[in-house]
Amino acid sequence: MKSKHGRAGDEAPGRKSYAEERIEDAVMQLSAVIERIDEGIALCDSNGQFVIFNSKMEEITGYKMEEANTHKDFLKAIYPDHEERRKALERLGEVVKKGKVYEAESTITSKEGVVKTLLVSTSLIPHMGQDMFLSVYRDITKHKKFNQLKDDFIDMVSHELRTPLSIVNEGINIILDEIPGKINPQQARILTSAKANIERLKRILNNLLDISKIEADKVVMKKEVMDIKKLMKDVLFSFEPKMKEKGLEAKMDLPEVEIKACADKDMMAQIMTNLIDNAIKFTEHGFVRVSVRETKEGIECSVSDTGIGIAAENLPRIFGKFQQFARVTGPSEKGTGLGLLISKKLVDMHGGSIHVESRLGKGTKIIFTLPGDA
Amino acid sequence: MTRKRAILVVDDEVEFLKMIRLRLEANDYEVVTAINGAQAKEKLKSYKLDAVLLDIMLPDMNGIDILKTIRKTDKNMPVFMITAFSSPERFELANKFNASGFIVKTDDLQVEVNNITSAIRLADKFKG
Repeated sequence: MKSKHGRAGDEAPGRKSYAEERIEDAVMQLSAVIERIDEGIALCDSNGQFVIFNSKMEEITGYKMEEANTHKDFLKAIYPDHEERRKALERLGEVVKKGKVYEAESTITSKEGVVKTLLVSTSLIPHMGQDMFLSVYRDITKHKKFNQLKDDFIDMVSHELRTPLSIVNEGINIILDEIPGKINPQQARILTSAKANIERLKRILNNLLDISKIEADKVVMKKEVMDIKKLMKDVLFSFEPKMKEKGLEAKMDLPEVEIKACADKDMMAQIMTNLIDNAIKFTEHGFVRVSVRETKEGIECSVSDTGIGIAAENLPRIFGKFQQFARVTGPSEKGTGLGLLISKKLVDMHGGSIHVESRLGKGTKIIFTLPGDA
Repeated sequence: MTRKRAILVVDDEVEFLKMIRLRLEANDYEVVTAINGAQAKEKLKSYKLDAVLLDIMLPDMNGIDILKTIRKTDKNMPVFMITAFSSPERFELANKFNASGFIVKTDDLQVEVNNITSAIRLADKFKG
């Protein structure tokens, strides 16, 4: 092998070979990367002795590597809470057992006594004949606090808005029902339009509350064995007056055989309501069809329409937050841009999947699949 | 002449009380109102009532506590809990103490009044 400066083995005693220099450079580069990266990185052996403990790690924990290595019980120091300590050990056990990256949220207490929430990703890597634990720690304390503030804010605003909204709603209803006295057709039209927008505001509030609860993992799923065909029929039936008003046909493509799903009934009804409501909203002529069938992946449910469709460039964003793509609708029809996202989250909670097939001007089909053992 | 049925409505939102009073009076009910738990307890003693609509969150006490007090002496009186939002936890708690139903403030109040009327008719049957 030839080095940059001459033949291999030509180096004077005490001088480093080219290969050694390259290795040293690479180690220095790698050390610099590990030091400067904005994530805590730690490499330790099965006895808890650290080989790598970067600056960010020192910043997060408040301990230097030497302190961590000489501490009589470092694990107990950063996980004073018994349950958190148990979870940390369990995480390491899982890494050994499954041999793959394990990601979890963890709460530690720094040397200064500050409680921090970290996202920890641990994997097993071979190092000098033994397995080492490589952990990457991301401090998500601020992110968590911000999310909590956001959730509290949405919760508070939604609840505080409901009472005045209910008073305005009932005030309009009372006048529309002519309880205080007769109103003329023009007054009725104006109030009907106002009422439609109150309904819209109610939907926005409900959706905001739903999405904040789902994102904060505050929704409890109550699975039961249910007749999915019946549920789809019932939800479609509840939209009959609205569809009649728009001159749309309601179609069902349901098999003769009974289809039982193990799912949360209310969530399923919410998904179907969102999908059918959307289909009606964006369809001026033709039909809205619901269908269900059993496939090898599970139970496939779908809602299709002959509506205006979605442009190809918008399809990837269809399940995003507040996505409305400026689709043309009537004044009372405008959605909240959260319905599809909520549907997706609810399907996800069941371990299922959801996707959309659509072409501009040719209609839309939204299909979701619940796994067989959902 | 038969007497008008009387309903006690307990809610600290005065504007909401005005609206529900109009709605109930249009359905031929006599309406008694209270803006807190203390007033509600007083009116429960001094009026002959056919139903009670109770806000869950009152400034001085919990509506559920008033429901418990009513249920000690009257198992059949229709008592509907008023809430700003539908919450499974709240529904569960009120059901535990035999609430007759719920009135979600943002829902159509005429539908709720129809439910109250049905509950009063059912309670009449128990009275014999």
